[in-house]
Amino acid sequence: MQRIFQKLSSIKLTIILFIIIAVSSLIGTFIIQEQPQDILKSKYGDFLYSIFKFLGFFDLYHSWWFISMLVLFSLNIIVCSVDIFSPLYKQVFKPSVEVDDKYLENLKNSTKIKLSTSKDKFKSSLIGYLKKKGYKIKEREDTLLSYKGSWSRFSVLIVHLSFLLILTGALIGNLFGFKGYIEIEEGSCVGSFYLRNSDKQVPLGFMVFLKKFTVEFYENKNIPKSFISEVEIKDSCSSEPILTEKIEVNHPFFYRGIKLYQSSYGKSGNIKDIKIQVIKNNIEISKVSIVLNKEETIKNTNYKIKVLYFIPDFALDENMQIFSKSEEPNNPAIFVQLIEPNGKIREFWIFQKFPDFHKLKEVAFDFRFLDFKQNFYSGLQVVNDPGIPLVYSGCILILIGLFLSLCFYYRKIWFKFKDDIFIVAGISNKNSFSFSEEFQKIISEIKPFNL
Amino acid sequence: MELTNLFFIVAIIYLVSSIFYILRIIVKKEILEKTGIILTLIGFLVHTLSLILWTVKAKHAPFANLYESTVFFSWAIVLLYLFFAFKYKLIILGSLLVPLSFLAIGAASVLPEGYKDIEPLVPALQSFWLEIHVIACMIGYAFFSISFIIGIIFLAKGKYQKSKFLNIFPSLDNLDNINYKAVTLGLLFLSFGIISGAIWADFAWGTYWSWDPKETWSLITWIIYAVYLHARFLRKWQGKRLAILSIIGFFVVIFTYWGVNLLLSGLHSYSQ
Repeated sequence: MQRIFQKLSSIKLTIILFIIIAVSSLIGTFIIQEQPQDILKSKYGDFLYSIFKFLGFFDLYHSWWFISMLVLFSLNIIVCSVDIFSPLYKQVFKPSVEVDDKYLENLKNSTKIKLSTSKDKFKSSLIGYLKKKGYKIKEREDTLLSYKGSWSRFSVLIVHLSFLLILTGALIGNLFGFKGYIEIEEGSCVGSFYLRNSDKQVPLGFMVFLKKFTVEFYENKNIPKSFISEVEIKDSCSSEPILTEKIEVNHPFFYRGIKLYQSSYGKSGNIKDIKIQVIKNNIEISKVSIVLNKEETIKNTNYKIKVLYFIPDFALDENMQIFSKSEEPNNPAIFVQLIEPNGKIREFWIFQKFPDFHKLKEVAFDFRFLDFKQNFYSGLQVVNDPGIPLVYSGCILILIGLFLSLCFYYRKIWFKFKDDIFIVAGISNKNSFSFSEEFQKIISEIKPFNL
Repeated sequence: MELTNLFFIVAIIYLVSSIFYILRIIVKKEILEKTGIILTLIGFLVHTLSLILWTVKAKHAPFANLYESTVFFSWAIVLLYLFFAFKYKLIILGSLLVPLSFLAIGAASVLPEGYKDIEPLVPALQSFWLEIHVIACMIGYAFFSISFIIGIIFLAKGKYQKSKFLNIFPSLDNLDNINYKAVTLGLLFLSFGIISGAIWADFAWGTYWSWDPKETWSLITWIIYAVYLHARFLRKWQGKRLAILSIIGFFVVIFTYWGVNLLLSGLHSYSQ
């Protein structure tokens, strides 16, 4: 047990773990992570694929051995912190005053000075001077210890413990949090999301209704400037909204422990605001504004009309089957059902760009497909991460710790009196250079007390 | 005048002032290093003004792609150099630091045309974290550049102890000490850069850490300098070994900064 403890607290282990974690992280950046099997197989070939698979390289950062390294690293931090705590505590709160002459004389900053005034007089002005400089003072017999910056010794502890906070936060997030994705079409309502890396659908606990989606582009550029989902949060799709919210990139929306992020968008297959012009003998007799699959009476006539399908980029394949070449509205077409007053039904295509194409002689009117709006869908990322507060506090503590250890350092200066001479010697835990300067300055500034 | 041309002129000024610093090592005339630093100051002034003009024209700080950030990185190196030059009277460091800054802005200038265009910010980049994140990282990288330069001088001085030319540089002890300062400051800024990036990622993508190549390499960089500190304090490493470590560290920094963008793809790929 003792030996395990010793091994775990060794700095050698720390450095080895640092190197292993760095090298394995590095490997992970050169191998595609978390991709479907067929992509990986075609990229690396069967042989490499099976080796990498065995080593867990395709999901390296979540592989059992990588996680074990992180666990071992945490243990190393814990054991080291425990190990340094009691000497640190002693150093800060109960520094030992008595030291060997030899020790003092061998320090890099060390000098002997002849006492030319009374010891008590010199001591009292020395103590006053050191206190003014921010030094704390302890005295025992003929030795006087002054020290400064002892609190900064805890900065190391702060940095190390904040790593444990971050790793614990990450663990909690992985165990108890979830990530997923929802796609909502404008005007529709969604109450569940797909868990990431699975087909499982999970209820959100509330309903999200996408009232409106807007995307704005920079002038003359194909770069989006912003995309915004205006959503309503409801208890059920038909109830009154509890909240109305705009979700934008960089501005997630937080509700009942779940964060919704604007992550993507696209055009759905559906359209709205379809405008059809009805013409008889080259004169417009009516205009119809209609949505998909809804029957509407054509004004000024006894006919009824219904739009059954929409194709954004109409084309025919070699078997004369209709399909859409793309999602873009390059050749928009609608398939329309016309119900005549006598109940007779006629069905035909109308093309926005080719109004005279496929005209039906038997139909009483001409139809023009004037305009439409394509519906957007909005992709929202769903995140619940209960580890976040721990991770953030860890981050803040790391910065505080590093800052403290940078700005302050621990230093001790002894004054040991022996008959008519005294030894002045000092040591610092780092910044030896600035300390040497300070040491020299103190030596020259206390000279007047010794007259 | 095109702003990219202005940056090119800055590169030339840095090149000329580098020559003066280097001449100073060979010829013991103080006027040389004075001319050098005056030229550097002029270059820095033009550099600063051009960055401001760029910000006005692009309507965003010059941090949105590899070209912009490299021009800023070069600026940060000179800023820190001037600080070290005046505070610690280390003007002669300009003989290596200003050439490095020239290399950075020069490398940015020879990037293919498409890389240097001003592009408007995509929604994910429209955040004040962009400024915080990039400034912190670039200052961190600039401190590591100083550590790299000091490491090189240390090794050279250690090897050719009797060289008259190298006399002009600070003592080995002093170099070791400056190196330590540069590394700790670099690590503080890099930590801040990584953490601000994590917070931003949490806002923009919904995850503070996703093992994206840039994130992973910044962690590797962080680890190298953490090893530096642990080796120094707990294994009592000194001088030569630490100098070598800070040189290795800098190559990792360069890979994190340029290599990842040019060779690997990931969430940070808009910086190309």
